[in-house]
Amino acid sequence: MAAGAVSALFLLDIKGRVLVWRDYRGDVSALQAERFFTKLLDKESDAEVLSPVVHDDAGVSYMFIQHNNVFLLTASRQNCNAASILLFLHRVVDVFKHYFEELEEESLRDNFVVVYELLDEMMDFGYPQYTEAMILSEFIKTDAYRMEVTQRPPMAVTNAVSWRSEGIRYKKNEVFLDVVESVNILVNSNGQIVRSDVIGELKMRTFLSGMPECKLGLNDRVLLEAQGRTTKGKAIDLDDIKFHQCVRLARFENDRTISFIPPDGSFDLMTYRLSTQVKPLIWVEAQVEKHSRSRIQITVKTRSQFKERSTATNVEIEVPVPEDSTNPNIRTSMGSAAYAPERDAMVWKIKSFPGGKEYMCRAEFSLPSITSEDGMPEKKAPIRVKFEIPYFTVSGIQVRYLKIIEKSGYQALPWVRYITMAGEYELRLI
Amino acid sequence: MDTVEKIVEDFASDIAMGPFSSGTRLRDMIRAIRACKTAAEERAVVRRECAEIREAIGENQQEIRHRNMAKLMFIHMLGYPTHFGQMECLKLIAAAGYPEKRIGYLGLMLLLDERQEVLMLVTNSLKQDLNHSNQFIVGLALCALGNICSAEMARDLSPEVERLMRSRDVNTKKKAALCAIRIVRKVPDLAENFMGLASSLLKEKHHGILISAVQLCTELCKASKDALEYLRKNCVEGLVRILRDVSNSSYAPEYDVAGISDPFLHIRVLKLMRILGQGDADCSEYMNDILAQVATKNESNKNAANAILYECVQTIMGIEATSGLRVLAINILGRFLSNRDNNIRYVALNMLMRAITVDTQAVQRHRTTILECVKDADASIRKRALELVFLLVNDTNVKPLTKELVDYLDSADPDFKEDLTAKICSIVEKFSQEKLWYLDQMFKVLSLAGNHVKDDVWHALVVVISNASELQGYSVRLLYMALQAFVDQ
Repeated sequence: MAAGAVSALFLLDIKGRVLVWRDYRGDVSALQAERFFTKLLDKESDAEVLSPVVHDDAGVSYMFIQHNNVFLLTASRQNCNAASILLFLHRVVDVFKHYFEELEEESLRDNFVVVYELLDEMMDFGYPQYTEAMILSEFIKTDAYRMEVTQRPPMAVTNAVSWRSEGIRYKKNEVFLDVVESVNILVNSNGQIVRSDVIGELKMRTFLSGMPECKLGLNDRVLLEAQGRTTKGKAIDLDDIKFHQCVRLARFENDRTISFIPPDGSFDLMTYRLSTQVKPLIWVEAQVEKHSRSRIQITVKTRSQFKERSTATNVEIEVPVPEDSTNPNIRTSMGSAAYAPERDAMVWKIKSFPGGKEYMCRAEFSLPSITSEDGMPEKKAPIRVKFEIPYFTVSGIQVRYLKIIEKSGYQALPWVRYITMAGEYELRLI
Repeated sequence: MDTVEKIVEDFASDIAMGPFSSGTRLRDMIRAIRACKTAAEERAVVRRECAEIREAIGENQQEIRHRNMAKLMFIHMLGYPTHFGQMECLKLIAAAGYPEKRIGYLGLMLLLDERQEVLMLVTNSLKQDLNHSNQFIVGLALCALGNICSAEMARDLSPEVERLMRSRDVNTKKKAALCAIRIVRKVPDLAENFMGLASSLLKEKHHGILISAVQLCTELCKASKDALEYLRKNCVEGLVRILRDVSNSSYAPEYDVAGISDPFLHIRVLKLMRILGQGDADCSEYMNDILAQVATKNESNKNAANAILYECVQTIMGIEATSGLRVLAINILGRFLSNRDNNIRYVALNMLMRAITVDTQAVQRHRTTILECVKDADASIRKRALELVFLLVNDTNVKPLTKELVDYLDSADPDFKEDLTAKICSIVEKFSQEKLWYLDQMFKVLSLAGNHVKDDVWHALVVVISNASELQGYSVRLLYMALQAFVDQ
């Protein structure tokens, strides 16, 4: 049966006001949707409780999701497939994040021209169209402001293999595989770990000709057991594995083989999660003393809690300071630290931080005699840490092989790198 | 020699380009902020600039204090927090030079309001500047006080303002009066201190002083009953003289607006007269002649004159005027109804609605003109005129008025038909003295605008027909003919 079409798509701010509006069929107005949705939000203050599919008296159905401080809302007078429309809205979010890094009201305001272009291509006359960010990137350039000759949509949008164009040729065929593990940690003011997990990503950059077949082998415990191999001590347990759409899920379900035709260029092949508790790789303690409302003293101590054979690079420790700070006087035992007023923080940078070391930083700031009249309780922002540890993974994951097979029979060289970096890495102040 | 100059130049350049030298000028900062493409970028630029300003404040660099204050004012206008600069305002105000004081007082008015604790610190500086020998510095202080005066400051500095109202300098006197307005508003108890001074200012010649004094008197009347009584006894004579002088004055280029001498002063005096004359027969009688003169002297073909006439009519309607004067006022409104300007017609209709309670007969004389307004092209004027007609209806004129309205119903705007229909039905129901006329009018309305008739109206009609046996045959014939006409369309 024919699916119903969407009448209009709205992006609304947290109060329900329309930020961006794309009208596909002309039978629902922005004012109508805004009025209805604002009333709905008033009725139910918590958006989580609301059903994502609601109807108004005028015979219009609304479907919405929330992402950060933005609502994405569709309105329709026809009999829509609600699940597919909601999935489409999630794809819209993914595409916007691909273009803008993050989807917020502010990024919409900064990029509303690109937003309109994307909405134009992603939906036609109320029917979902292309939702693949990489394909959309081919003919919506973020820096294109002038009128351009109309480009033919690439063959990929009509192919069975929708993620890869035909006829790709490289003189030198190469594959780069980066195993990136992000460590997310939240430590409370007592020094206890509140939240800790590791998100792993296998990022690929492929420069391969034709339509190559790839096979990837990992040291996943389930995979090794399925192949009848011994699982002495090198096997690992991976949770919540997610694949790019190019991976053949049926084969993976059968025998845990990761087999795929890769898209051209950069893409995320696979993500996984570790659920075991992780010791903080870089530990930070800070003591803050306030003297007579005009001076503040901060002592920061940091320690690397990994083996000495690894080294963390580009370490950045961001310690929050009051927003009115002035006259910074900072001394460090290693690296350099500076006051960054645009971030209301002191940023301590350590280029190279070997394992098993400890460093200190002492800082003093002046404060003006007049405080802000907001009267808000002093907000305690957490310490944020950034770092990279090359050739190191928390999980112990290893790529055992990466085979590339193509009819023309060329040889491709795979390059594999491992790196651990800080994700949302925060330690709360005492 | 060249080498030394180059070294000095490089050194100066290094200082200016240093990270915390706050070397950027206001225009450069504005240019940097304008160049930002995103809100986050703008926030970062502003925060960095604020940090530099805080650094300069900490180093107590006096030569660039006024520049930093100018930048802070711009940052404040963009909506960012600037509280850390408040003490800097006080330092600039306490400085000796006029340029520093000027920027300091401007910053004071922008960055602070009466709620800040810091404001207490500035009271002493204000007191000293109010006693300064330079009249322009006195003016700065009066201006600042007039903008941010709090109740405590009003009590502390009121004696200085009183003294300055006796100054010989015209500008100082004017600013002192304007400042007193704020003081009286903040502390109504101080009104009695200013009554005599305000009254004496009405004897001045300078229009700036006069308009300030009149405004101060107006504020005093609101603040205190005693002040109102005092001004009734002591000021009416002065106001009448001011109005006569300005009304009869010859051409004065600095006050002239399209041939009218200082319409603003006219209007201020008329407003104050309305306050003083309301409920006071003696004051009203004293004002009678000058009001009549102003009402007859100004012609209606100039906007400034119309403004004065409008205010004059309001005053006449607001005080205990003689009936002759009231008729004069209503006739002015009648002339306004014929004016081509929509605004003037609208305000005339508004005031005529209020005038009806005062003198119904005088308003009735303009009924024809009012009916013309019901057919006006402007929707707002039509609505107002219709409401006015509704109030004008009585037993004597109900039939001709209703006929006019029903005749217009055929050609009226669809939007206006609803209002018009509701009013006609209401009038007919309220004033009908015989059933036959009632039925005739209702059938006409139903034929012309049946869709707009409310349910209760035709319910009532059905009841009337049911109860009037002798008219049922007549009703059936009329309704049948209406139905026939409808089918033929």
